Amino acid sequence: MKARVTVTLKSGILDPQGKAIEGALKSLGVDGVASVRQGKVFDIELSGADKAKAEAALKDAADKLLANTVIENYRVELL
Amino acid sequence: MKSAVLVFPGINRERDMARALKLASGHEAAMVWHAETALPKGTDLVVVPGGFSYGDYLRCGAIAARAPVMDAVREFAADGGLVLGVCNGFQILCEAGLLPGVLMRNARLKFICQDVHLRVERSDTPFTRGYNAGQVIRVPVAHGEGNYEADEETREAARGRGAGALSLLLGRRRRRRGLQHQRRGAVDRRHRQRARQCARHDAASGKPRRRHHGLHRRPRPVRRAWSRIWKKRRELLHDARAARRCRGVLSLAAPPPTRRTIPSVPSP
Repeated sequence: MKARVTVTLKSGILDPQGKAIEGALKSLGVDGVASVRQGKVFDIELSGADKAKAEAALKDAADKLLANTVIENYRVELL
Repeated sequence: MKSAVLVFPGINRERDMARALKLASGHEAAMVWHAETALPKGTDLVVVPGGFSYGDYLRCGAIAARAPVMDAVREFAADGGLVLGVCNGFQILCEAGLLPGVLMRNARLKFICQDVHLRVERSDTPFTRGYNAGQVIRVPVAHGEGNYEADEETREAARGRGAGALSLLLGRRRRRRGLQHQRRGAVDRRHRQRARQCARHDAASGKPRRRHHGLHRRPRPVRRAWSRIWKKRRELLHDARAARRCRGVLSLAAPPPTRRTIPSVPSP
């Protein structure tokens, strides 16, 4: 089973990297970019087949390591 | 005082730290590998040094903060032990939940490597006991992720527990004026004078005068320093007497080779 954990900065947290990317896109002439926020994506392969168990395990992983819940939100998707 | 320095893969300042601790306390610091599950018996101070633990992967300090030794450090801290985190060590302690808040990428995305001035706000903590409150000290910093973020509540709570013993001094006007006086001594002298003025003001009013406080010394541009050296060298090469005087001292100014005449041997 495959899963994807997406980690993004909480709204209101300053994201200088996103700002730099936004500026670069604008200077490249990409139209219509209002704002950019940068995040991380983890593609995880799971050995079990139990969906509920997998989701619980991934949430645990995200809370413990993948995301810093002080500044980041995460989303778990089973693919 | 017995101290322990934690060692993680990718940490690179552990030897400096051990040396500093030896000089400060007179005792050799114990180096503790991250896979250990206990600290040496009788440890009084645990220091998490700086560097790039685990290559700063995921987030700075995130992986090191989950190492086995950190459980022992958490226990040690809960029992009232002293823990100091410097640079990456600070990030590790934040990630481990031993300190509140988080260190984020610098607002201008630049790695900052410079001397900064810190004001000792309180001298009643074990780490700042040797200073006087109100004293200004200069320390070197080097970090890419040094932007401390925590909500106001967390900061207030931390202050109540004795955090905020040092505060960073920044002042644009002061800094600009400092740049005009790049000579080291001049800035330092001005700085000491200013610190004394501020201390007097604080003592009189009871309120810290933070707004105009502090100077930043910018390292002299390397190019200009070099061009000065080359100019000096030209001068020296043109001045043979100066060159002779400097021979042996300044290899750049070696005198041109002189032809020696061999005295003729008188015939018997």
